[in-house]
Amino acid sequence: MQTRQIPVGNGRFEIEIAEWGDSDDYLLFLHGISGLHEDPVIVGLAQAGKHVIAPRHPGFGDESQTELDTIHDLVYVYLDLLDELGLDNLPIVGHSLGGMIAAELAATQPERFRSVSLISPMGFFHKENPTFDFFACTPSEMAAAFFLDPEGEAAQSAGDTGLRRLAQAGAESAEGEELIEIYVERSKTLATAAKYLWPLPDRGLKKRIHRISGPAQIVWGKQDKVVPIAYAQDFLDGIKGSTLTEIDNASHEILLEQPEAVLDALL
Amino acid sequence: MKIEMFHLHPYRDLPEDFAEKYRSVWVDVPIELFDPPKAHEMYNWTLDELEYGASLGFDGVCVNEHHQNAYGYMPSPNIMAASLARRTKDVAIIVMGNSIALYDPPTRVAEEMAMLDCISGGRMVSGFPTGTSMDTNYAYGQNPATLRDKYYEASDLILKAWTDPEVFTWDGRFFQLRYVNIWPRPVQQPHPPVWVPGAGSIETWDWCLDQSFNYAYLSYSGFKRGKQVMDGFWNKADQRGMEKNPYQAGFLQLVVTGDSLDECAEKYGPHIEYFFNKMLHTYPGFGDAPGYRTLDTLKAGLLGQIGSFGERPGGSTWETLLEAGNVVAGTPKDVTEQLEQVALDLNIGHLMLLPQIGSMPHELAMENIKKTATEVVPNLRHLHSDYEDRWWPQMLAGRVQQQPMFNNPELAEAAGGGA
Repeated sequence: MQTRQIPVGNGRFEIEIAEWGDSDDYLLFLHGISGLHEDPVIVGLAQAGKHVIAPRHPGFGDESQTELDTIHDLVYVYLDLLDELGLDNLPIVGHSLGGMIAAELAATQPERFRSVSLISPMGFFHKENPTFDFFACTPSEMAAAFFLDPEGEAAQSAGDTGLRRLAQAGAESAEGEELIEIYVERSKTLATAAKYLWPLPDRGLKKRIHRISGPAQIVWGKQDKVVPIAYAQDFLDGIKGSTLTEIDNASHEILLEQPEAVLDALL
Repeated sequence: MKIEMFHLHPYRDLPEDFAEKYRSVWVDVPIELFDPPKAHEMYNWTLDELEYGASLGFDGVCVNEHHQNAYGYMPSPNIMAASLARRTKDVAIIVMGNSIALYDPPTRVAEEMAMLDCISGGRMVSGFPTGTSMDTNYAYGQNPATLRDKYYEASDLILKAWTDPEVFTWDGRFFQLRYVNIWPRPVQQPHPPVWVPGAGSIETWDWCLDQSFNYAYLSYSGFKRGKQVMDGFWNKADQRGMEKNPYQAGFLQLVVTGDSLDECAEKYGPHIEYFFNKMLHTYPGFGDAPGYRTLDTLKAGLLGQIGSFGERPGGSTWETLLEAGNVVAGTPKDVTEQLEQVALDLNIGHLMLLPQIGSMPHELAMENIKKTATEVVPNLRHLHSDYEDRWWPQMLAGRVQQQPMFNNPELAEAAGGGA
């Protein structure tokens, strides 16, 4: 994974971006709460000729505490990033928390994005059908929610960085140094996510989502146990002309569980 | 040294099978277990016990703040302190609550503490806890990513609100106030001593040394683990070339005093087991919200009571608790010796003793308070006498002390009531 640091906002912030591919056919990819990983979907997009630009959400996976406190702070920093890179008229794809950020970006500057793809996005909350509380759970509960089968192949291939370290069989019984490492990884991912999702993931997207104008598609795992597929309706209602692709046999880690079906939807 | 009596005000009547049947004593503990008439009794027991301890020679009485739990249900310690301010005379009143980041604006804490200081005649110690993750993040919804920064800002604001002679404007990251000018101000000048209850976050050590606050380690892991944390604090002071004044440190210890260790085991053992097996039975998912602890603290391996994600050990027995130093027990002589060792080994000038533990009923708590206060406390006071306690209230000379009516037959008579 190639990464580089891009200073934005007159040097006030620095954004780390990862890139795949080298064409002029740019695509902005925003990662979910599990962190930024070289997942098969990203690799597949690059193989299909896309130049994937994927920022690591500031604070995610590093040790910095930034003064970015709200989703709006983050949106403006990402608009600055696109200005800095000279990117316009490009597709935006976001998964999970990244889907929420993508929706906010596309609502703020609708003309900037040629198309909008939101994969199991966050951003809404209904107490009668609550999203999974990943801020208050044990590792085994987290694994069971994020994966259709926490012991299955997708979970095995997930790697052990970011939140995926926690959502792993065995994290429960970790002790000593290993336990500390797990706590650190958990803190580096979820503590940043908390700025946008704590205690409930609703930051008012419902008041802005109608502004998204490009062709939009919503992609969702039918068995998503973190953000249930019923939440797709909020996006379908909010974004005029949007469509839903339901993918079977996938929970929230849909990029690992059904990469081909997701790629089919995106390409 | 100073010896204070601490009270958690636990719910003393949880069912036998609590730990098997319910997932957590905190945050989502079912309200079906709560009985208001019993709570009426328990609140009055708690206050009676603290007043009794004060009358028998403890130097101070301590109350604290927790939310949504059966472990210690004093969500507002200031209410307890207000009652104690009227019903005690010469003791310090140590409020180890007011999790200052929870209150918006935090000037409310500055005001209430100033009120209490005026009512009590300058007997207040103002605790500035961060608050546990369960209290602050899960029960009070504070964002763990910013809680600590908000806490620091609240502390700065409260200190300024107590001391600034001018009306001032506060323009912070978390709080904005055009006009700050609290009435009343504390009796103690420049302000009541600030004690910070710590649970092992390493930046709290520097914070207390920077601000000249007292660092009080409130843990139930006993003095053996306490040594690890207190050594961390004193090493910091050493590194910074600062005086290691024992009065800058407090330490909580569970204590039962009897005529023999066997008697303690028989009388108090079950209540102490209740405390460790029920009161600390928390759902691991609520242990530590992400971001609540800094990476430095995590890396230092000081997770403390949070420990592991796995199931809580449970099944603590009197013997194992005694062995691990979770509780100090025995004859007055044994207890005195052990506490003396704690005070010296950990360099503690403020020893906070917890004599009512878990399900311990009122009469038994009173017995333990009496024996500890009269046969242990006086024998510890000579320790650390060569240091100055700069973290103790500067009480007003010639304090007005309203005698409670029912303790004063003449007043009661005059009011038309019986004695």
